[in-house]
Amino acid sequence: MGLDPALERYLTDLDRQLAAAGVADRSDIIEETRSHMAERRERMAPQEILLRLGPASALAAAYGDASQGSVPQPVLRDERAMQWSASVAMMGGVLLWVCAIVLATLCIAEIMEPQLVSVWLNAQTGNVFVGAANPDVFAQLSDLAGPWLLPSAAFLAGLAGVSGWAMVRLAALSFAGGRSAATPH
Amino acid sequence: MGEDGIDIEGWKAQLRKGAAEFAVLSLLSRKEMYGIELLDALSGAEGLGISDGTIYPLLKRLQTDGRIQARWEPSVTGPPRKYYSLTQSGQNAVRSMGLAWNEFRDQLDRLAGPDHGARPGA
Repeated sequence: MGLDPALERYLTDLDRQLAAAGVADRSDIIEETRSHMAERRERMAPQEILLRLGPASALAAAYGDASQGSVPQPVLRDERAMQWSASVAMMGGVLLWVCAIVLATLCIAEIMEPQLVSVWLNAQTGNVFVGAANPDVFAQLSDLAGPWLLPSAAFLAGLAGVSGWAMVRLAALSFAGGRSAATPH
Repeated sequence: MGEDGIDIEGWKAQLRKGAAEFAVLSLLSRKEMYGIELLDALSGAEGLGISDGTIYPLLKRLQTDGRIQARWEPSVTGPPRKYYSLTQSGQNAVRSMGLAWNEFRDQLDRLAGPDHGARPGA
């Protein structure tokens, strides 16, 4: 069943005003407006239907704005990616702290027992290890480290500690940033 | 501008912007609906500023944003209807909006107090 002439004229005008839209979009909008009009027509006069829809130019302009999308909302995918990166940074930071603790322990041991703690080569097995030598096999061990061991270990312990602190701080800021970005202002 | 020096209509327009979108997504989170069905469900909420002339562009924008999807369905009683439903992104969005809205309302209620909106002397 066809629509009233006034409603058909409105659709023709709307179609003309939607010239900038794609053919498929245009056809879809016209069909939906036609469906709306037909259903409203069961209870309303054509003039009231047109009054409620507003001018065809305004409706077409609103569709034009709509097809460009809205102001970006909290982007959940980016938020998840940020939280994942922050989790990795947190784990990296904790790992660096563990390294710092091990190196600091080596420094303390080197200060307490400079004769026993070093980088050793076991001549019998060919193994190289860092730590305290067993006095029973001391004769088989060669000291590979020089006076550089203590300052190097101390430097690396400090570097790992500071880097770990920076990564944990970065992760904490990312978590806080993710939470505030998800809250509409 | 009102007699109290505030552009209350402009202020209401700002409030309506996000609320209309939240209202439509909330209705669609319950079930698939078409345009007039949504308008009927929104009757009594004129403050949201959704009318026959604004609902379809709003639905179009939500579709462009990937929050909702649409499909045409033939009707035995009349013309075919375009039904809308939430996408996964729309479901996530309406959940986040609901949480944010509850938090916002609670904070504002705490600040404004229960007596705001009451008539003087009432």
